[in-house]
Amino acid sequence: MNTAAQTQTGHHPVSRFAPHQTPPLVLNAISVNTHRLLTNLQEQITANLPSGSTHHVLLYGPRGCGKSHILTLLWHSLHSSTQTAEKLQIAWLHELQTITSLPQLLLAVYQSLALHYPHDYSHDWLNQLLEHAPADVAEILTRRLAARFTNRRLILFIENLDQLFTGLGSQGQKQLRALLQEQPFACLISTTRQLFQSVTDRNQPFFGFFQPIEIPPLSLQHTRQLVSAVARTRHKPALADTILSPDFLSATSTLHQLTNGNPRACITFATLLTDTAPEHVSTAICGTIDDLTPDCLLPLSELSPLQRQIMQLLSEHHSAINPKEIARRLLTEQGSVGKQIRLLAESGLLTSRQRGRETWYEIKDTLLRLACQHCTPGLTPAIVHFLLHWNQARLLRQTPAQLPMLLAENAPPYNAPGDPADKFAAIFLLHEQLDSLQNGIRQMLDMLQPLTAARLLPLAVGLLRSLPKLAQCRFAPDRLRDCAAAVLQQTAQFPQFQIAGRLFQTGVRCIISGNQAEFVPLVQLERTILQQALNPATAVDTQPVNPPSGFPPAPLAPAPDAPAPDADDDHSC
Amino acid sequence: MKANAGGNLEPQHVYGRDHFIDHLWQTLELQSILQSGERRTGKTQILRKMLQQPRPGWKPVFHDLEKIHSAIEFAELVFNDIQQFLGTATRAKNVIQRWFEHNETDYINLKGRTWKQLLNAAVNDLDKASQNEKLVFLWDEVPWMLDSICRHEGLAVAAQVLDAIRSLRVEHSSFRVILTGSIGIHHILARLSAAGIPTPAINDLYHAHVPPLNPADAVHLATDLLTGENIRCSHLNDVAHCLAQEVEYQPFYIQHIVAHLRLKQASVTPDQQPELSVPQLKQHLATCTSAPPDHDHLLQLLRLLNADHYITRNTHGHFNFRSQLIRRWWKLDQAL
Repeated sequence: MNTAAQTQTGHHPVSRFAPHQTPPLVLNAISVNTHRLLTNLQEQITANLPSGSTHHVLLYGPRGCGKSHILTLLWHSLHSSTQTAEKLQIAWLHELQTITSLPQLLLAVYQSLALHYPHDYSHDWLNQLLEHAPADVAEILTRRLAARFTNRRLILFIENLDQLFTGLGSQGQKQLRALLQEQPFACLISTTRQLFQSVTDRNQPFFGFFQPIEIPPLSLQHTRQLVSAVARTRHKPALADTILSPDFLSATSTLHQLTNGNPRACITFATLLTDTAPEHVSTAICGTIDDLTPDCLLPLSELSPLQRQIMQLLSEHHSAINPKEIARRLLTEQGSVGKQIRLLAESGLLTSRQRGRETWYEIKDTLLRLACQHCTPGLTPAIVHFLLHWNQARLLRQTPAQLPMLLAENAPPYNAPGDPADKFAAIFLLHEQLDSLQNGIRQMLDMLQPLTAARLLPLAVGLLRSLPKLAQCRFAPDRLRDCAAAVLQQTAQFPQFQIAGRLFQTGVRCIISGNQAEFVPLVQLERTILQQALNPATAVDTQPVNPPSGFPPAPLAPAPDAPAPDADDDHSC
Repeated sequence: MKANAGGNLEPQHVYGRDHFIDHLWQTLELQSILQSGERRTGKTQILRKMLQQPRPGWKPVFHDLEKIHSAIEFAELVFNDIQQFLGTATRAKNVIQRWFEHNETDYINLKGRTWKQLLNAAVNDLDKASQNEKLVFLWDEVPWMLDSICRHEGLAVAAQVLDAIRSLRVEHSSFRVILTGSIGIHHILARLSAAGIPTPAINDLYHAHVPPLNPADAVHLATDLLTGENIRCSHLNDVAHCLAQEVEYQPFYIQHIVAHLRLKQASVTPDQQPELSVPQLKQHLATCTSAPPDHDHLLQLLRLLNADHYITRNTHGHFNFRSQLIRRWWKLDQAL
């Protein structure tokens, strides 16, 4: 896999999997939502330096959310600050290090210090130390480290703390906690994908020990800033400016929805993007999914066969599923399926919603779901193309409805120019019976011959956008059901209508029932689309945004005119 | 002062515990102590403050015992601490004296002794020593150590360790200890009792329960944290009061909330609890329910809620929730 997004010779590489390989200047330039958190961490560490206080932090968030990025930036800022550089040293335990005992942990800490501060820590001394028994090694290392950090502080970066704690086991965790309590010379800045039992269970030693800080996903504004910033690091200022313009908003909205604001995915997209034309955008998004698929699927390798089957089923199915249905489809007992589902939910892979006494499960991470579909022959991520058209229609075609004009002309609406949403709405208004509704839709489709994807997708989007107008008509429930039936009957043969048809049907049910309980079985992404369809007045900020502050100066990239501070920077936790 | 939830604090940043710590020092003159309290109430910070600011005449030694998994490890720890306390000259004198008295060279060899012998020898040395200071052990996470000994060496050994510590306390006036831990020691005692090994292991200890901070100290802590973190407050004093009250004056949670506010960088306004009179309640109910209760029915309902300790009436006749916790629970339950 190409881990460094180095597109042309001389460009600064942006490493998506190893941020410490990215030059600090570039790393800082693509930091769009970390400023406040970094400042807080740095202030906290600096404030504790003169005293004997220690403060332990646990950053948590899904894969690719920027945890290592934040650690790398903190590393650079602590080392470059005159306030802190001489008063602390940092040991960094990376995510690939496997540690199963306290002596091994202390050894890893010493080795990391020896790597980064070779003048202060001797490899020869360490080699001699290894002649001793492990318990003695731990004692000697503890004494040595305590002596070294009498007047300065050890900052210990630990990636994937959950894995370290699993390796240490209960006994090792207690030994570590005792060490940190008795010899408070180290501050732990650690990361994990999600909070885990060792820190959340009040019966565990590390309960309440860390300040947990959630790394939130990027907002839409930050997604736009990040994609633009990466384009700038690639010496593409024109592309970077276009990305920030309202014209590109539908593309970044699609990216944001598909990746849940995942920074790693945004960087991948930005490095694959060569042009802002729609076909290039969809290619770059599909390329992003392809590129990140191995990384996304990594957690599945740790699952049991039944858990993998459940994940596979949920990825293939277009909606959320309840345990009873999962058991039926997998030819398994509901009890054993229920237990595995609970475990998957606890590990953060599934999310659930309740309707009445039923619980519906879906894959939590949209990107993981897309990656699963990407690897399954016959399953194409149709949502990508639909979403691009949907966002374009939603965000850019804010033209007033043409419906009154169409009706005033009292003519068949399907051959009139205008928004497909209006055409559908007019058909629903004009034709009262199911047969004539179907005929109307058929005639409209006939008018569009040849029926290419480029013609059908806007029409599918238009169908969904007609829902609010359909709601305004206050048809009888039977008439609404007729509408849904007519649509499904006439569009079933077109794959481009699958998503729109499904959502249209659910939308009609919502209009009939007057509530959104029908939303429950939909997956998160489709729920969002249907909500947008039913509530088109939801405000969308189409304003251009500024590039992130702290952008590197020329010649890396032209300095922005007004590098505004991150006014909407929000690190909610 | 910066918010620091869960970390180790400087002694001057441990607010509102001076009186409690004075009480502990006074008690130590007479007997050893079992310090108890819910998790995250600040038990360890109290021990650390005692360690860093000892009362004259005392030499505290702090240990987190969750690292100990066997009786011999525990005995060696105590032995080493006492030897360290006694100093080189006294240690050498004791070794020579034992050699002459018992002619047993294995007393010199630490590994030759059982854990009980080691404990007794160490505390005997402490008794004989004429030090200017008295040694006090501050032992944290004792129940976890006992739990670990139970699992590694059996319940009987854990009971013996408890009994040995008790006999040291009873027989040696020089031996003083504060025992504490995240989980209650009664869990271990219950397990021993269920296994047919009842032990009076803690009946000679003074039980000191760590209370929440008193309101004034909690508000003081909240004020200093809000100020130290530069958190914008509409009315600093009101916010600090509200914050302290909401978390029932527990310092850990005050620290946590301020740390959270720091990250949010939001301005803070205290959530004022409305106190409503009966006419105001009637007016409110008339707007939000289709069939508001009549005057007598409403009074009857208020009396019942008052009797059930859900609400309270102030001297002006206005009603309010009896406690913040009930109010918070109600708001969460009603998704308000």
